[in-house]
Amino acid sequence: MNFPLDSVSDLPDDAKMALGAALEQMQVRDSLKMYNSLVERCFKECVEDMRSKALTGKEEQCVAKCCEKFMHVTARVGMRFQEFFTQMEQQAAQQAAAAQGGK
Amino acid sequence: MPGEQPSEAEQNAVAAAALTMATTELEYRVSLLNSMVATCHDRCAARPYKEGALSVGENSCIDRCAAKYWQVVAIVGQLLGAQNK
Repeated sequence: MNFPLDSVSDLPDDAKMALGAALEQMQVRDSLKMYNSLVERCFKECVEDMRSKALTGKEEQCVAKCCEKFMHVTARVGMRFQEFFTQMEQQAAQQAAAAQGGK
Repeated sequence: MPGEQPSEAEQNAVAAAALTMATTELEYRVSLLNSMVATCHDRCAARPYKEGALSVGENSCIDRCAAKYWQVVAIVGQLLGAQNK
């Protein structure tokens, strides 16, 4: 089920541009989705008190920490994620080279 | 007939299919990343939130969580792939 994206470099230029535009759109859509999900997450985790309209100081601080924490987790996981994929693609390239050499 | 170049229409069709495939794979990767982040955050971020920065313990937990998640991706991929044959 793991299909490496080595075919991207083989795409003709207009397809590459189309892919670039699609990627940009995906990024915009993704950051909006992330915004929404982060709001929902931090609300659910931090806001309990429905006795007033305004957030309490404690709730505000909690939301701030919640966001910051999630951002840090995202960054770290993203870093490892990149590493895993790079490793996988290197292994695939090595296997392909070995298969070629064996002929 | 062997030796003939594929027609422009055929080339376009192949390029379009490759583009769709590349887009689909990108979407899959993004979705995978988001799942990994959400899952490891739920497992590893200490509640109640003391601060915004990650502690050493949380960092280690995240590294291990991500590594294990990746292994699960590989196993499930293999099993599904074998099933499809």
